[in-house]
Amino acid sequence: MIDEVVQVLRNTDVRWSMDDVLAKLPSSGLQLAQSSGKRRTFESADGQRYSFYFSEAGQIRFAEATLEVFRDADTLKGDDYQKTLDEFAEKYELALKDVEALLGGGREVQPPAEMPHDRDALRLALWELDVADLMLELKHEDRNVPIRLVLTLAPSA
Amino acid sequence: MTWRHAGRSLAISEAMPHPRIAATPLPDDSLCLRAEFDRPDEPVRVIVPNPSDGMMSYAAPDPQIAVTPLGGTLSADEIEFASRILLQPVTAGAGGAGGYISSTFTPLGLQNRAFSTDVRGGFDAYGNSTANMPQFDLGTVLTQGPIGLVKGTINSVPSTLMGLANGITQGAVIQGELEAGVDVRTALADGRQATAGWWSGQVFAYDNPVQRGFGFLGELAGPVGELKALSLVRDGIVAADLGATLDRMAYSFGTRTGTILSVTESAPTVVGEAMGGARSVGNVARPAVTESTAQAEFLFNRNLPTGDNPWIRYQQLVTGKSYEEVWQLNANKVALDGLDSGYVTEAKWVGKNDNAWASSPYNPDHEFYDESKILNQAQTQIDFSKTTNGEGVRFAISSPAGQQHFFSLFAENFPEEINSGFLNVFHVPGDGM
Repeated sequence: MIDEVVQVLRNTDVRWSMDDVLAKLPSSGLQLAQSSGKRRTFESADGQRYSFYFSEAGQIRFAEATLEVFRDADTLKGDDYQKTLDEFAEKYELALKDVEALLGGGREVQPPAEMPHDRDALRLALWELDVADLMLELKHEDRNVPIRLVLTLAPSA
Repeated sequence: MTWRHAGRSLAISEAMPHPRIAATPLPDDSLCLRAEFDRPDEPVRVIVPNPSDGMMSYAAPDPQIAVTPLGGTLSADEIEFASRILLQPVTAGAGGAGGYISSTFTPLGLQNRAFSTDVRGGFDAYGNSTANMPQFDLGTVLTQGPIGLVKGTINSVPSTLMGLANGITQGAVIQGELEAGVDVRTALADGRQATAGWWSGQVFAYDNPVQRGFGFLGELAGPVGELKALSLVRDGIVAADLGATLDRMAYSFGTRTGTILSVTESAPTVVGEAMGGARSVGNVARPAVTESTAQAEFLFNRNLPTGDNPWIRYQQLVTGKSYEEVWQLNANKVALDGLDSGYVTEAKWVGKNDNAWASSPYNPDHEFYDESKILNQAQTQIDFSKTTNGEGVRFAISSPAGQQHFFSLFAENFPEEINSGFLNVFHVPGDGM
């Protein structure tokens, strides 16, 4: 599963415009599922979603593919929150091995170190591709938002 | 540059209009804090956390007001001006004139030559925590203090009279322009311009921060000292942090005159309590409202998770607390990030800047944006505050673009509460995160 996501993101040229994305992704088997503001979300046949976020100029800012999600983090009490984060940390480690098997070792960054691309993540591993960075992120940005494991593609800084 | 800080805060009471705040390091290693204000319609409080920890955060609870460190070095005039607190309330009439408050946190409040900042516990005679109170380098104080005291006493009459004349003149200009329909900011600028070239009233210049601090003491103790003090506390506005001695003098004066006064201690990392009115607080865990009503009852404090998550650190920064308050509101449990002086505070970490905001789940474009959850939470907090006869609800948002979104969203969905100021959204930067 994760190798398919990596493949889709690697095959995405971050220099594409929104029109390019809308034209080319369907040929890869991805269907446009949702449009909201500067976001276009595509979905594969097996339900994996890819959200592309564009700049005002219509260029790709970043694309996120959420691999795992826990939506009701705000309902977690006491130790349950930490347990859930620990579970996601295990998922992160497994995903990290999978991506490393495909792309080689990545550069791991952890707060309070400066996060690349101003990303907001509890853990982040980065692989430098030709003109883009691929990032594996464990994210929980606020109590009232989901905990997520995400693969992100962004143009090289 | 390392700043030392007494852990005390510039506290502004409930009548204080919105400030625009800027902090600038001075050549003598002290910190100049300057705040402009032009809106008398909202309570505000400014807490200065511990700069030595790099927590240079200032809560400015107004979406229109940016907190911008001043660039460059201050001119000699600015430094001298900033060496005293001048308060010129914008509300015309009743002794008020529009303007600004300006103060350095030196020498008694924030200075790293003559003082160190050992953490000491306990409480002073007024119930304020004395943790982080400055410790004196006695030699410096004994030699420079009396000189400043004499200079200040001599300076007191002309400087105070000039300050009052300055304020009256500015007030007249501002009032006239406001009545003529000129916007507040322009009127404020014109008011200042009207007295821009006036003599400050200072006869002797202070040669160093210690002289300056004692000089201010001398001005308060001089023949028109209480008039000077009155200028500090009139209209219920007080800026403290010239050090414990001056705080107590101002406190004493305010108490005797019945003027609303706030001299506030803050824990070094507290930025929060910013959106509420002034209340003297220590760093003691306690529910802010202890009484229960038929509909709302305090249940317990819930500790925040441990960890370096930015949202956890941001919430602590905003509220100054490592826990949330859980209340029973009718049939529902309500968790409040902060509750102080009647204000419900909600901290929303939406990324450290506008670039990070683009990928925040609170961004309406985001795949995981949940507007109904945001609105439900705000509705619950509004209900809670109204049920408990609270002052209102204050959202602290970590990025300017995020603040604009939340404000627009609430203006659309809670127009009555936004228009009345019961609900408001502020940009409170999470500096250092």
